[in-house]
Amino acid sequence: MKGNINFGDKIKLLHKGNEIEGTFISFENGIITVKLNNGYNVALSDENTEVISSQAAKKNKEIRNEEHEVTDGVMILATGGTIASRVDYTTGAVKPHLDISSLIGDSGTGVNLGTKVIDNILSENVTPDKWISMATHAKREMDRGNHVVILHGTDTMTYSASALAFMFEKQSRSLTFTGSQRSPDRPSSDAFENIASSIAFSALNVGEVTISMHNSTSDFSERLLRATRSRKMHTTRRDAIRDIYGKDLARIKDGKITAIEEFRNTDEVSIISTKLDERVALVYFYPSFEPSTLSAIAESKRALVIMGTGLGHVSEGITKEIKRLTKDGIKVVMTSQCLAGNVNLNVYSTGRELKNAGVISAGDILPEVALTKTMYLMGNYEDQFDELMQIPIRREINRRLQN
Amino acid sequence: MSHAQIKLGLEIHVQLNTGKLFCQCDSVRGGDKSSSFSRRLWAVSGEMGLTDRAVSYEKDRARVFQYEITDNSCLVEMDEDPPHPINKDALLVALRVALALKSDILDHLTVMRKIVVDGSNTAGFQRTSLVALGGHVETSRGPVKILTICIEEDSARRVSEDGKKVLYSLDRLGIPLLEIATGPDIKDEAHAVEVAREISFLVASSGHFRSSAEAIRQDVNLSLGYGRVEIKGVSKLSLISDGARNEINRQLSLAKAMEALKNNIGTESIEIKFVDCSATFVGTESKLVSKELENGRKAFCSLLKGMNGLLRKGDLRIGKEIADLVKLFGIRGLLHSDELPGYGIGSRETDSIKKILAPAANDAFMIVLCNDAQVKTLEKEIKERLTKLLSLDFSETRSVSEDGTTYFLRPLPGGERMYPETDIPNVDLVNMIAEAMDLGPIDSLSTAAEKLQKEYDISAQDSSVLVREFKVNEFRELTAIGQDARLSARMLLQTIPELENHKGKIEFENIANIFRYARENGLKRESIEVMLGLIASGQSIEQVIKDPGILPLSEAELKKILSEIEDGLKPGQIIAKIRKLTKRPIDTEVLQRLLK
Repeated sequence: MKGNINFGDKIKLLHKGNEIEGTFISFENGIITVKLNNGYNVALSDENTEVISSQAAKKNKEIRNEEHEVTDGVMILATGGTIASRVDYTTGAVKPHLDISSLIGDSGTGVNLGTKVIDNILSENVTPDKWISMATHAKREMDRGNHVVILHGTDTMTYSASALAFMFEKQSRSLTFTGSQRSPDRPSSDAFENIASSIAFSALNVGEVTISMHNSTSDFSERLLRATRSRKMHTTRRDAIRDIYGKDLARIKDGKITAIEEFRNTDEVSIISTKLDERVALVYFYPSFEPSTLSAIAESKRALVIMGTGLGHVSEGITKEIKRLTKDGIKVVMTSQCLAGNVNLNVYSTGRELKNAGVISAGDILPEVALTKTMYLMGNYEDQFDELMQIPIRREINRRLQN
Repeated sequence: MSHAQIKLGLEIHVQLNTGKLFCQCDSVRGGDKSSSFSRRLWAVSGEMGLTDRAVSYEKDRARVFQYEITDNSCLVEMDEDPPHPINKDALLVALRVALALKSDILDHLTVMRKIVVDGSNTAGFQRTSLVALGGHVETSRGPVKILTICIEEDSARRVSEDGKKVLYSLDRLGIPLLEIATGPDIKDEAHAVEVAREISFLVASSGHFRSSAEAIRQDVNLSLGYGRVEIKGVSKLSLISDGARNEINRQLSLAKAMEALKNNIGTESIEIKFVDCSATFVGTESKLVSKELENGRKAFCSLLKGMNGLLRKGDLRIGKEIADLVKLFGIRGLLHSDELPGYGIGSRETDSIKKILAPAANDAFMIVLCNDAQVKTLEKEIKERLTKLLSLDFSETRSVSEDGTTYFLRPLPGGERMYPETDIPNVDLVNMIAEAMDLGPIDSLSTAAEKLQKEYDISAQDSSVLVREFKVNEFRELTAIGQDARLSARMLLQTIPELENHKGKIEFENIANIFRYARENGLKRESIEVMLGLIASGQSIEQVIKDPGILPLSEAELKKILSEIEDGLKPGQIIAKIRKLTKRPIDTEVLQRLLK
C-alpha cells in the first residue's frame, strides 16, 4: 500500500473492481483493514487493492489520565491488568486504559475519591519490586487517611495481595485489591461493579489486605476475601477468585453490606517492612520429577516451597535430594497440591523421612501464599523462620479445620 | 400500495442447524432450563472513542437482565468463556449462498462486536462478520441488488419483561444466522415478500436450515424521504406487507401532523417541563391514575405547545409517538388532552391542570405517572424525540405487533457501535471457496421447482408451491412410502392445510403413519382423508385405525343404498344423497361401475 495513511483517515479503495469507502484502521502483513461506514471492518489483501483517495482525519482529543490527590477518602491505585486495559484497535493488542476516572462512574458517590496510575503492566509481569512499590504507595495513602483500592490483573492478584498482607505489619486503613475478568471496553464488564464494591467495603475498616471480586456469575453481588486464603480457581469466570474454604469476610448485595467471618480491625498507624528475599522458588512435584531438576532449580536459591502430593509427599529420590539441600542450609517448606487441608509429615514413612531431613510443614497454607511468606520471612526474620513459618501471622494458616 | 418516493429494502436472517457459531452447543435441540443468573450492561465507547446514540439511549433505561441457563448453552453464552473458533460448517453455508447470489466473497473474515445493550446478548454485543459484498437475486420483477452477506450469532430469546427486569433464555443465543441485506430497490410490499421467500429458500436448500417458527426473521428497511426506518424482527411473511403498509401510512400522517405543528409554533423549539400535579388526583375516579399513585408513583404534567388536536384526532397521532417512548421506560400511564375528559378523569382534574399549565388555545398537555427519578430522563427523551420528528427526520428502529402496526423501539444505531472481536483471529476465506464449491451449487426456487416437477411428474403449480412452502422433504417421504406423487402433493397442499384450519394440527409423523397403514391395507384416497380428519379432531393413530368408519362402503352396501335412492339423478346428486346416509368413504371406481 502506498501513501502516508494513518489510523482514522477517510479512505476510498478499489478492491477486485468494487469501490470501497471507509476509515483506515491498519496495514499489517499485507492486509489492509478498513472500517466501512456501516461499522464492519473488512480485511483486504494488499495485492488486490488500490488506493483511490484518502483524507486525513481530524485529530482526536487525546485522553490523558489526570491524577486526583485526596485525603481522608479512598485512593484508587492502578497497576494495570485487564481492569485498567482497553483494546488498541490498530493492533488488536491490549493497552493501558488512560482514563481511570472513567472506570469509576457513579460509584463511591459521597466518598472522597482519588486516582493514581502507579504502573501499567499485565499481572504476569509483576515482580517483588512491584510489590514493594505498591506497598510504599499504599502506606503513603494510608498516612493521609485514605483507604486504598488497588486495581490489579487477576492472574497473579493473590500473589501480590498476600505479599502486601505480610509486608503490612499494621495498617491504619483498609487495603483491597480488585480486578476484572471482562475488560472495561465491553458492556458486560465486571470492572465497574468490582471497583464500586471495593470502595463500599472500605466502610468496614478491615485491618487486613483483602480482595473484592464477583460473588457468582451474576452481577449485583461481590464478596470480600482474605488475601492470604484466596486463589484464582477458574481461567475465565467472574467469580474465579475465591477463599479456598469459601469463608468470605463480607458480601455486598444490591449495595447492602453483610459482614460474615471475623476479621482484624484497622490499627492506629501503618507499619510496613519492605524487605523481601526473592531467592525463593515454588516447585510442583510430579511422578518422574528428577532430583537433578530440583538441584538445578535450587541453584542460587535460599529457600524452596514444594507442592507435594497428598499430605505433603515427594518421591524417595527427591527426599534424598532435599536432605542434601537442607544440609547446605537451604530452607524447604512443604505444601500440598490438594490446596485444601493440612500437610502432615507424621502419617507415612515418606513424611517422617522428610521431617528428618528438616522440611518444614506449614499446616493448610496455600502454596503461593507460602512463597510470599517465605520471601517476607527470609527478608526480615530469617533467624525465626522455622517457628514463624508454622504459625499464622496474617491468618494464612487455620489452626482448627472445621467442617 | 405504490408510492413514488418509497425505498424498500430487506435484511433477511435465517438460522442454521450446524451447531452454534462460537461454541460446541447444539443449535437444533435443547432448551430445558436449569438455573438462572442476572446481569446489567454498561454503555461503552466504540473503537473511534465515541458512544453510539442507540447505546446511550439504552443506558438511560437501566434495566436488569436475567438469563435462564439451558442444556444447549455453556460458559460461552454466559459470557464466562471467550468465543471458540468460528463454526466452519456454518461458514461454508454462507459461502455457498454467496456464490449462488453472485456476491464477491471477501479475502478475510473479520469478526466484529456490534454493541447491543438491550440485554439480548450477555456480552453486550453481538458477534457478526461480513462474508461477501454485492450480488443480486432474480425475481419475477427483475433482479434485486444484494448489499451484504453476513454471518452472525443469534440473540438470546426474550421470555418475559416486567418493568425494569427482562428475562431471557440462552437457548437461542449463539445459533448461526445468515444475514442477507438487499438494496433499496424492492418495488412494493408484495415484491418484498417474494424477495424474502426467494432468499430464505436459497439458504434452506443448502440443507442447513433450522426449521422452527422463528427460523426466518426479516428486518424491513423503509424510507419515504423522511429518513430510514428499520422495522425489526418480522417473523411472518404476511407481516412484511402489513408492517410496511402501516408504516407508510403512519409516516404520511405524522408528516401532516408535524407540518401542522410547525405552523402552530413557528420557530419556537419544543420544551418539555414536568410539574408534580399529584395533588389534583386525590380521590380521583380514574382507576389507572389511582392505582399508579397507590404504587408510589406521582402524576406529572407538562405543556405541549401547539399540539392541541394533533395528539389524537383522526389520523393525527403525535400522542402515540410519545406513548411508545415512555412505555420503554416501564411507564404505563400517559394521558393527554386530546383524550380528556376520559379514562375516569373529569373536568375537575383537567381544569386544575390547566390552572397549573395555563395552555393557550392551540396548546395541549400530557400527564405521565412515574417516579421522581424518571422525570429528568423523560423530559430529555421526549424533547429529543419530538424535536427530531419536527425536523421531519423519522429515522429510527421500530418493531411490529401481531396486528401489523409498528412501534418505536430505539434510535437507529450508527457505525459507532461496531468494534473488532479481538478474541477471534481473522479467517482466510480465499482457501475455503474451493471447499464450498465442492459441496455443489445451491438451487434457486425456480430451478428447484423445475427439477422436482420432472422427477415426480407432478403439476408445475404443485411443484412450485411444495418448494416455496418448504414441503419438499415431507413430499419425498410420503412418496417414498409408496403413495402416488400427485396424491401426496394434493394431501400436503390442500387436504391437510384445510383440515388444520378447521380442526387442529396434524403432526407429520401421524401423516406418514396413515399413509403407511393405507398402503398396507389397500385403502384409497377417500379413506386417507377420513383418517386425517379423525387425527385432526384429536384422535390417536391407534383409535383411528380401529374405527370402522375409515373403511369404504363395500359393493353390497353401495348396491343396497343405491336401491333406496330414486332414479334419474346425476352422479353428483347421488353422492350427495349417499353422504346424507353415511360418513364412510365411497370408492368412486366401484360407484361408477354400479351406475353404468
